[in-house]
Amino acid sequence: MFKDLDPLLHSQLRLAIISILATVESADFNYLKEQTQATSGNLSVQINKLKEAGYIEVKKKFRGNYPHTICKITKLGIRKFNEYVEALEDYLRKNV
Amino acid sequence: MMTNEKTMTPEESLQIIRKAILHSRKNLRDGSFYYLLWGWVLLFASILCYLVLRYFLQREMYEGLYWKALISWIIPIAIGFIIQWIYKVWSKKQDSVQSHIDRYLVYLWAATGIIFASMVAICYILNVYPEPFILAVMGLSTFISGIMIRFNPLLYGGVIFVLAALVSAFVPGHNQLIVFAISIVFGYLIPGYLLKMSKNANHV
Repeated sequence: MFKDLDPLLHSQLRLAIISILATVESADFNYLKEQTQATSGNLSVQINKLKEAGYIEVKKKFRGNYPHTICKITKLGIRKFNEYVEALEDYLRKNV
Repeated sequence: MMTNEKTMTPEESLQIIRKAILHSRKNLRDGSFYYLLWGWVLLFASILCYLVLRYFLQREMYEGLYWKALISWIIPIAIGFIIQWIYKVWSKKQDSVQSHIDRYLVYLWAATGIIFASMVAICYILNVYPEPFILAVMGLSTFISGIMIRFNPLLYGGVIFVLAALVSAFVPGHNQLIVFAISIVFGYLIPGYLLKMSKNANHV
C-alpha cells in the first residue's frame, strides 16, 4: 500500500528526525534524542543513513571538551520530505 | 521509545509529522533579553545625548556639537554590543535547537542596525535630526518582530514607534530626544518585560 513512499523516510525514527529538522533551522543530537526518545546508538545509525543519502547535513564541533553534533536538513531532504507528505496525502485522499 | 524498522500506517506517519510541527511552535526562544538590553541602552543614550546638547546649547558652545552628540550615542551602544556578545556566547552554549524565526530575526535586526547607521550619516549630510527617521524604521522592525513571534505587545510597540516618529517631526530640535526616550519605554521596555513575564509563566 506504500509503493510510492520513500523507504528511507518511511521509518518511524528517520521520519521523526526529518520532520523535526524540516521545522527548525538546526538541531543538535541531544535535542533529537530528547524529542524522539530514541537510544543514542539507534539515533546515530539513522542520522548516518540520512546523511549518506544527502537528506541532512551533519556538523561535528566541540563544546568545551565534549563533541557537539549539529544536524540540518538539506534542499534534497526538504524535497524528499515534501514528496513523502504529498504521497501520504494522496494515499489518504484515495482511502477516505 | 521509537524503534526503527516497524511498518507504519499512514496515520502513524501523520502523527509523527504532526508532533514535530506542534513542537516546533514551542521552540521560540526568549528574545526579551534583546529588547530589554537595547531598550535600556537607547533610553540611557537618548537621555545622555539630550543632557549633553542642552548643556552646550545653554552655554552657546556650538563647536563640535554634532560629534559630542554622536559620542553620547556611540559609547552606550558599544557597551550594549559588548553585553550582547557576552550573552550570545553564553546562550549558544545552552541552545540545542535554532528555529527559522530566530534566524530571520537576526537578519531583520542586523539590517535595521545597518539602516540606522546609514541614516545617521545621511542626516548629517542633510543637516537634519535623525530621530523621526530612526523611529519610523524601528517601528517597522519592532512591528514585524511582534508578528513573527506572535506577541501583540511588541506589535503595539511598533505602532507606538511610528506614531512617535510622526510626533517628533513636529518637535523642535533636540527636544525630539524626549519623544524618543518616551517611545523607547513604551515600544521596547514595556513589551520586553511583558515578554519576559509571559515566558516565565509559559504563556507564549
